[in-house]
Amino acid sequence: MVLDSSDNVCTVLADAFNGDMIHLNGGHGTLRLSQGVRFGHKAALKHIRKNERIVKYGQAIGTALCDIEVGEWVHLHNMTSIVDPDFRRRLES
Amino acid sequence: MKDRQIAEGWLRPDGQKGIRNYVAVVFTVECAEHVACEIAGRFDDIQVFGYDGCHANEFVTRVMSALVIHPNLYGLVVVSLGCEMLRGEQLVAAARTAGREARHVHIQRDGGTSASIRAGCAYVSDMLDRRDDISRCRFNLSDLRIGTNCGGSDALSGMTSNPAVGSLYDLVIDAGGTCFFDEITEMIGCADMAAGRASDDVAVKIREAVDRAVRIGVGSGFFGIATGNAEGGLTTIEEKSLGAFMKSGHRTIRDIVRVGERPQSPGLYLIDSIPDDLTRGASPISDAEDMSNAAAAGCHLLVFTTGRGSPLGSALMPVIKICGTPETIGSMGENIDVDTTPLLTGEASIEEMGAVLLDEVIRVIQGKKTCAEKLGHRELHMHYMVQRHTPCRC
Repeated sequence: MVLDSSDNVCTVLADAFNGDMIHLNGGHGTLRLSQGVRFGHKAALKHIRKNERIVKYGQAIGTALCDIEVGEWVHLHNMTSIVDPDFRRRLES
Repeated sequence: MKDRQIAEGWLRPDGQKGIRNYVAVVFTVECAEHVACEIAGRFDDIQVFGYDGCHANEFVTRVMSALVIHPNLYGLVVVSLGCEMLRGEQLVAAARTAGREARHVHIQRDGGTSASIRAGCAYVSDMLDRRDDISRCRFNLSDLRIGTNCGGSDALSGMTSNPAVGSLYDLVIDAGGTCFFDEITEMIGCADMAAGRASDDVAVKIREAVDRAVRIGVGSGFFGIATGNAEGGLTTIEEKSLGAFMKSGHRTIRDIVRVGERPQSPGLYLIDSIPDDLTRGASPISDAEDMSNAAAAGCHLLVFTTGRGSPLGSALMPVIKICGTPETIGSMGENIDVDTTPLLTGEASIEEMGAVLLDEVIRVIQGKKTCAEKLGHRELHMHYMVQRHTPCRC
């Protein structure tokens, strides 16, 4: 599901696997996943460069920690909060 | 729609209208909690809540004084130990001033546990005999005060249940009702969107509250996002915030009010639930605390959105649970009142789901028991923090 046309991520509504082709709502076409993405998690709709903003609901929800390819799983291993970058560390500890 | 009677309410002597007619037992310190629970446990359908700390400040007294004049409350028995800082006499006086029946059990004065339980039971029994004599009144949508909360959020909450509540809020406000939202820690990342829906004065106050939430998040190392949120697909406080903010709908934010304030003009209000000062202590935040903030604002009922599932109810308000996560509907179906998964499949629009929610709200006002009520959930967590009183002008 894509929530805003300026978003660079979508939310996957069923557990999906590497190579799956998923259909996007609202005339946004299809996306081939290059990684498994669990239900409720996000995948990149476009190539996102390191330090670029991750955009959902048309708003910045974080920053990319590395280059992210189209179809890759986007989560706390490759993105972080702008206001609370320590959340990832707290989860690991 | 404004003048449409949707139910009969209970008319309180101070003019407030209730949608339930509760009798409650209220403890003023942990030492009195057992006696209060014993009293309540000897009857069916008695609410019990209180404050468990021995140290009470202006905030605790203010919020407890607001809770004991809740519109759904017919009367209460306050149970004190006797030496705690929260004064039972003060709560009894506040309740009586608002025309509620109120009695006081004082464990040190009344002779210990057993005698206090006996005294409390006699008071409750009297109130139960009299509570049905109270007059009934028209209850219109314009009389409704409604609160919202999200708990156990996942990535779908912000796409299903939360925008559906936003649509419900638009409908209730357009019908002349009053709606509250809270969770300023979950407005970090969307202060601009919120400020854009308020007058210049109110926008300044909203930004100040969100800045305070950021300072306190940095100071406490907690930003209102938990491990389960991340497992469910949420990544950052900004993402969680944007999803949570959808609950507020699209109408003007009329004002931001401190906990315990009850604005009298209809419209949409934000509750400022952030402490002024963390260095002087605060209890840990929880969903039950946000719900007690809504109860203190005089909300008749609360719509609660959940993704991963939450069983919570409230001692003072029916709580309607809304969920758009198919797995949770399957595993915790008995806790969910409204299924918003049609938003995932495209079978319903957000506006249509808002109308479904309004129908359910009306049925609950008319007396339908929510899942939490049927299952006996009556949580209320009265928390401690430092927050100065600033009366609202609305």
